[in-house]
Amino acid sequence: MSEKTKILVVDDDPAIVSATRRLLDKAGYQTFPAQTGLETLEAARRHRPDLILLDVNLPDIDGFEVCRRLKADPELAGIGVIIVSSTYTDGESQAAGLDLGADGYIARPVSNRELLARLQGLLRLRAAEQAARLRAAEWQTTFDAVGSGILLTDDAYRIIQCNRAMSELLGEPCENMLGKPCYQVVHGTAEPYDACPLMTVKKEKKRQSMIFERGGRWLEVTVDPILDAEGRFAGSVHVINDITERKRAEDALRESEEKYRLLAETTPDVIILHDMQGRIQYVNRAGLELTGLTAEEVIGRPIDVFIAPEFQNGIRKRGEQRARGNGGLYHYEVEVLSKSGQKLCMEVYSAPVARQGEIEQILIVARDITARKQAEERLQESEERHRAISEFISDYAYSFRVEEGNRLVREWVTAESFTRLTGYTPQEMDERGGWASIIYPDDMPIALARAKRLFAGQHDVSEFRIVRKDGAIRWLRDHGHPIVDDVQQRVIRIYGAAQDITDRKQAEESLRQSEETYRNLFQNAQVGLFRTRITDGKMLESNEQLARMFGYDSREEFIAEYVTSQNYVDPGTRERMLEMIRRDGFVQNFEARFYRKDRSVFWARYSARIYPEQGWIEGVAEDITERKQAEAQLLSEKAWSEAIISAAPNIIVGLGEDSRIMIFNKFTEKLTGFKAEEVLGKSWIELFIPPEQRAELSNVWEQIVQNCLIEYHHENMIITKTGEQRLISWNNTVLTENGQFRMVLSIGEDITDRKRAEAEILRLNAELEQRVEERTRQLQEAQEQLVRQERLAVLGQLAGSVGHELRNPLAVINNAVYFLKLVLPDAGEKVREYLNILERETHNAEKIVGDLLDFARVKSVDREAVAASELVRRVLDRYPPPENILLHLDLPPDLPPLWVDPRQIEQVLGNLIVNAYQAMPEGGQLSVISDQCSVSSEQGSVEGGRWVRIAVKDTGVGIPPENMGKLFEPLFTTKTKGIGLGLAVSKKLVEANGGRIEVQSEPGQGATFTLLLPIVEEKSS
Amino acid sequence: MSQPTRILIVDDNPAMAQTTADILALKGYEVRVSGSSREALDLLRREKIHILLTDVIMPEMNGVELFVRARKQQPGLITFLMTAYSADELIQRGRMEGAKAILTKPLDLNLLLMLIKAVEESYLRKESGPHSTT
Repeated sequence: MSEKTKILVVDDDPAIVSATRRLLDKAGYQTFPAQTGLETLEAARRHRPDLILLDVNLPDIDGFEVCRRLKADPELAGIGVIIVSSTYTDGESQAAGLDLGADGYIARPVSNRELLARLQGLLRLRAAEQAARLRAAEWQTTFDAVGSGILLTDDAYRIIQCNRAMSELLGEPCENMLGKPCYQVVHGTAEPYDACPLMTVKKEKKRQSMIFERGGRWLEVTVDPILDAEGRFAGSVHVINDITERKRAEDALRESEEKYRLLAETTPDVIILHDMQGRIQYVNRAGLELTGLTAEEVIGRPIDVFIAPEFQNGIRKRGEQRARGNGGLYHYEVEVLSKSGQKLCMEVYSAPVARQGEIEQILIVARDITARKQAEERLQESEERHRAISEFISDYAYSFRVEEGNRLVREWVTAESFTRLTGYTPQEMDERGGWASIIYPDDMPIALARAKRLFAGQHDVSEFRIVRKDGAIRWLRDHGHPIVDDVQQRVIRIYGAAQDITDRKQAEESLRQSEETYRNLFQNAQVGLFRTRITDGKMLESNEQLARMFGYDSREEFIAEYVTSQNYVDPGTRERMLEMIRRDGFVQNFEARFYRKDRSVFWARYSARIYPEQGWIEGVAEDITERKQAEAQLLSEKAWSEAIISAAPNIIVGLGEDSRIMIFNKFTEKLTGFKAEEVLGKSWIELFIPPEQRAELSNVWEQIVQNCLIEYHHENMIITKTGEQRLISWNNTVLTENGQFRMVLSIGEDITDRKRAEAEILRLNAELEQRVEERTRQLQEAQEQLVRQERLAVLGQLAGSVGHELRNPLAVINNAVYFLKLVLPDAGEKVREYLNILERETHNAEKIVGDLLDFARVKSVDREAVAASELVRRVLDRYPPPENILLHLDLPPDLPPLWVDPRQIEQVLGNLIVNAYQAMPEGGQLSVISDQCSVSSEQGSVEGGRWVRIAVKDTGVGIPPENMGKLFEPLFTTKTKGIGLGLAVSKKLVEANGGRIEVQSEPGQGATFTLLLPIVEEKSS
Repeated sequence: MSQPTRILIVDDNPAMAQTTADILALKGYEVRVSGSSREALDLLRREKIHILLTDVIMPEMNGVELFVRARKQQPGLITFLMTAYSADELIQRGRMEGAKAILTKPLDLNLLLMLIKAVEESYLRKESGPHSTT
């Protein structure tokens, strides 16, 4: 005992306490004192003694009460108490003390020896008791802690003991079971259970086991006999385990195995299991079909038999690696020999099947890729030469010298290809800090590991990325080969070659992604598995998924009641399937509609094989209702859009690449005169575009196809079957598929007529505008004329009064000149000349005033009958032609007389003739021609009837066209002299006389002024 | 030669009246000059006038009015009207009243002399022959 036994000594007498302690200390105990009851309790709590020597007579509470309180306190109850009393020594008191839980009673007086002996005896007993209690507790705890239910029976099967697990398993408290027969408790039967192993145990005296169901749980009971010394059956031990979970797991496993077996059997891939010696242990149906052998013929044979000889070496090597514990997945290709002796190329995945970490079997999944391979080979062949060259030029090779401390010094590198690949020259790379400087940072660990291997003398092939000078990232496959110097025992040189494998990496990545996609698809696929009876389609086996697919909550219920032959929605479908499956042995992706449990309908697709010997069909099914609905929807949408396209009152065409016509609706047929079947697949541009626009449109079309972009709107001309050109206004859109051009869909409207109408309207508008403009101009002119006339009227009045006023002084001057000429008949030459000048200029002034006045006022017309020739002659007398002008007169004497104011018409003729002279300063001919014309004027005026015409014609410079219109306007003149009233006055006078004046002239051809003058009416003459 | 033809010239412009008078005087006519119609009528009351040569447009009384009134005093008086204006209505009235000629200013003096001669021959006494100058 490492620790001394602690004893609390209690007595109200300190002398006794001290004496007792001395005694006990000497005997090797550790002691503590206490003199009152409360002290005792407190010391017990503090020191936790093993034993208390407790006096009964204490000042506060007596020893019995202290004992009671100690035993009532769970923490203190374990302390041994020996009541020591000199007072209460009778048997009654001792009994009372023991009743209170005291462990001993010592009556004083007691000798020291006796006290010590009693103490030691008591302590020994206590220690033994405690050990026994502990063991019992341990045993009960163990018994109860056992997970399995355990019960013991006697030879009459009565339960004599049972643990907590059993109680829980059976759902009964142990007390209730004790004494009852086990069959009553466990199976609820009045007699021993028939199959109860107990009977056998009793008879054979050997362990028996049994599995039974109780209350929805699966229980496994193991019964062991208890034999007495003579070997007779004395009872039994039942150990019961709840194996429901295990059983479920087993069932699930079985189901899963079933599923995988089904998958294995229905998959077109070959699946093989072989042991580590290469002996085939399992081949699926596809595998058997490939070899043409039966399972019996194949099982147990070495796998090499089926492998083409040149591949056997590789297979063996892999086998050796497996044997060394390589647990990885192999992926490779081999050639195998089919039943017909044909070599088939198989793509193989192999994986080890390990049990407890030991590889026991190899699983092989192989797929016939002969066709794919052949295609690849053909492709490869055709590309061989090109690839060889491109590989040659895209690689670079190098050599580094390795110096002490593994420092690399570049010896040589194929500079050109290196630069092509990395963008750096070898020098640039050196300056940057060597090959490590171009490694893509993420791949640095790969590069370092590679360097480590190379420096360790190992050949290395690594794939890593580099960053090109232009920042692009390329994948390299770098083969490194170290040269080890045996003397120096180190790598002295590294040769290598790198290859740009970026494209391959990208391909791998996309392959990996696609594989992942498929894996996900497969894992998430909701596949139902089934086995049905051939005769009626009775469901024999299914998985939960299939049951759910058919609307059942439980597989059992589904299997119990579902018969497919009664549940095909479409009559004849099952018969059709049976026909196919009997003929081919299988059906693939067969689609059919089924009724669910609730009679709703769904679409299933299944693949299945027939097993005639077993009389069943096995397969995999999936619910494709949604896909079908989507298809139906798509179909109806397609029909709908086709209907729209067909019925649309628009031109709708769809043009594929090379403007191939893909859609050509009814309306377009009508417009172009072509039937859809005549044009579909042909080039739109060739057929419908006018030849001169084809080249340009073809270019545009290429751009459209390339960029998948088209102007939303455009107009162009197309040619119909009859050769007519129609202008079409198009709205276009490009349809793409996965980003690739698919077609241009164009909706057009024939706007030929509209355009024509528009053009017509435009033309009419323009015309109208022109007319309006003309009219406006006329009105403006009239307006201007009015304004001008008004202005002229005012001017005329002013001029008139000024003219009149001028006449008076002119008259006086005129008189004065006349007088002087009269009185100075003999005046000198010069004086006479000046008098003549005065006279002439006075006349000129008078003439100007006269014109002004003539214009300013309408003189009254004094008409009289006068012959035209008479008037002409008088005017010519007054204004005789200059010498250089030839006169031509044609004045017939038999013309009717004019009915005019002769002075006014003379004035007019005078104006015309003088003008004519002035138009011919270099000479010419003046013609005055008179005739009669009965034709009315162009204006068809009411005067109509007969007229006399007098034409005054010169051969002068003529009148420029721009002046023609202004000729008769007042104040218009081309002469430097004159104020431009002559012709205006003439016109006015002629019109006042009921006549008209006209002019014709060609520049350089002279001018002809023509007067049309009224003649004397027969009646009035 | 009994007595020369007496001509009364009426014009509110004295220069016009004077120059015309001087020319006619040179041609041997007996000439009287008045600056206004009123003055002329006064003179007509006092003296026998053969030819009245009067301006039409004059202040107070115009030439046509003068002619009409003068004719009342001396019936058979020959009147020539002179005008620088286009007072058509007035001229027309003068013509209607019996003015023998209407002359526009500036005067065509040869024409005037011819007219006077013609008047002398046609209307005045046969005895009044040409004047002293002829």
